[in-house]
Amino acid sequence: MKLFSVSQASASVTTLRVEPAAESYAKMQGSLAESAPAPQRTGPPDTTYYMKLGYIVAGVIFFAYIVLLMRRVASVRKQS
Amino acid sequence: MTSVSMPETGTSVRRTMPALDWVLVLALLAVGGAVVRALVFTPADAMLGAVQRLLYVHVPSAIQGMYVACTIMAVCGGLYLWIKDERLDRIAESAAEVGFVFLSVVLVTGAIWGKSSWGTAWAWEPRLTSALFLWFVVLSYLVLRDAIENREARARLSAVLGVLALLLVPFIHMTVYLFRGLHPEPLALKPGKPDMSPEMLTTFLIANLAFMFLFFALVRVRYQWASMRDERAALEQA
Repeated sequence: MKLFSVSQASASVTTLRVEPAAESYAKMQGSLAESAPAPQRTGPPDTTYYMKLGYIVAGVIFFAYIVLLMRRVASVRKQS
Repeated sequence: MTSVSMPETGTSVRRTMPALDWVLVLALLAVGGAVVRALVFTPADAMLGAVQRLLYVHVPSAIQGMYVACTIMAVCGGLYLWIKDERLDRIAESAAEVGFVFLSVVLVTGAIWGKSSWGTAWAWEPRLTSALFLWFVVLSYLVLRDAIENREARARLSAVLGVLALLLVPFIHMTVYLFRGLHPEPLALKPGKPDMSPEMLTTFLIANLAFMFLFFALVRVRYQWASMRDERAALEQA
């Protein structure tokens, strides 16, 4: 990107024509605005999947143990 | 209602062993209420999002599995070595098995939370590694009990292992202070005020009470079953 340009129009005096910074910045902003993605949503990330997965897995572990315990109890009751 | 006669005393012991324990049902209802409160009525964390709600399962399970279960294992084991009462051994055994289930929940929910927040389900960092080590110690306690036929030797050796397991607990608690790792410092079990909003703190306390209720309800059922099993084994030997 060329922010500054040298003018050769007045070679005898050798003056420098500096492109105004504001103008160059506006061009850059325009090109960026064309290629920039839509603004992202603010706030916390969506981690609902992991929350649900954690609760389901914990529930399955507790449920499996309670079933195991109930089967043991049923076995003892059957023997008596 | 079953009647079991004890060969050594000649007396008849009547024990109740209902198909579904009402205390356990109440405990499950309490845990269900705590989960509904956590998922529906408690705000999510502004940084972590919804996955932060795993706190209400992960931390109460850790408190029961690590602090409560290991303390019961060690205290009852130590008392057994002193007064040789088999009921103490059965309580320690029951707490170890139920604590193992809670520790498994801690490891699994921690891995899921870590995958979401750290980008990895497991890291060999001090807190996670030491918690996994405790899980293996409790597993070895249960395997040891299963492997020894002699009841007295089984109770004596597992009591020693139970006391050793408790020695790990303060170390695991301090790992987040002693070493640099991924796991955050405790939010509640620390000096000073908890780092939570009032709604989150209320839900956290309710969840802790509910999971403690579930822990003791499961230990109660497990103990009753172990008592019946031992009495039946004594009858078969007679």
